[in-house]
Amino acid sequence: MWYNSAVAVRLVPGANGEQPPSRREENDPTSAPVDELTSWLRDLLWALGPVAPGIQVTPCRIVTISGEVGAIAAGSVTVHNRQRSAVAARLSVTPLRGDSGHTWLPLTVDDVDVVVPAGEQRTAELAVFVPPNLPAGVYRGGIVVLGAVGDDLELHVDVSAVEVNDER
Amino acid sequence: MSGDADLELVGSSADARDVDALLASLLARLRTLSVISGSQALGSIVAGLGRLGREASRTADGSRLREALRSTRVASNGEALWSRLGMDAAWSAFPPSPVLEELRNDLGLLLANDLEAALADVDLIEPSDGLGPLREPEPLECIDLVVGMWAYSKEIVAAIDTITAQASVPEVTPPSNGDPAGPVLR
Repeated sequence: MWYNSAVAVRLVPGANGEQPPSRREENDPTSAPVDELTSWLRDLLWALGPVAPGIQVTPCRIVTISGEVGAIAAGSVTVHNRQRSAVAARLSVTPLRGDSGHTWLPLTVDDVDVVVPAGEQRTAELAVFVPPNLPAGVYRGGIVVLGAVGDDLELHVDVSAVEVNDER
Repeated sequence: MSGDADLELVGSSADARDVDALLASLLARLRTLSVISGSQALGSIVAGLGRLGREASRTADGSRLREALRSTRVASNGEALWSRLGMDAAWSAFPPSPVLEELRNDLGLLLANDLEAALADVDLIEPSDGLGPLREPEPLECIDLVVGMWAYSKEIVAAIDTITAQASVPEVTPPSNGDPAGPVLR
């Protein structure tokens, strides 16, 4: 197949339907086991994969932000890099679920990206639009860092109804 | 656990992501390229992007994007290409490459202030003479790659945003009968 040319070369039959021997196979009867071993080692190496040291997320405390319906709920998240190298991370919000059973897919005002030098901390601003049709209440979900292992950072958004001033 | 952070980013050990470890990761990838086929490398990257897509789909933005794409021609045409050209079976067989971790690690190397010392211990890697040059080489600097990746990703984001701009995905979903979690969290 086109996406695996190395395999395709081996599987293409000759004019009479037989596998055409490679020049190396014609000259060296021991080449087949060597090729098999090489192929096996390649597969094994690729299955194990190159080492990619990853990052772990350790949530320290719940992030709580609040806002009225039809407005913006905003807060901040402090990210501390306890590693010996700088790390870039994007904070993403999961769907939130309210006590009423409503599910809310919050839209963030801006992307929440941080680049934190080794051993330092940065504060990222998190702001979400609260839709006008969202019932008041507490919505619970999480903040995740894609490509990292560990628990989600717990996020609570306290949504309040718009107060109407009746000055009659 | 400190009280000055909402979120801590740590390594699996104290030196898991020091500059030597990040450099070792990059070297391992470069040296692995000489013993695998191009299709294995590409297939693993594609499988890794697919795994990242599944992971991102559990975020609000990812979930919204996924639903929006389902209502466009991208879903049906993509599915047709995927199955007709055998890409579903082909790509899924490859071990997913940790694309985001590798990107993050390489960015960490580019931002390191002690890279020179770590590089001093590394043997110079000579270019492979496998097939020889296929054509006259053209200049390729690291900055070219960084700017190219920025432009490439901007193009992808702009295209997908434009495609899904007209798709309507409800921001709030009321609970359905007997299902307090709503359809999104199923």
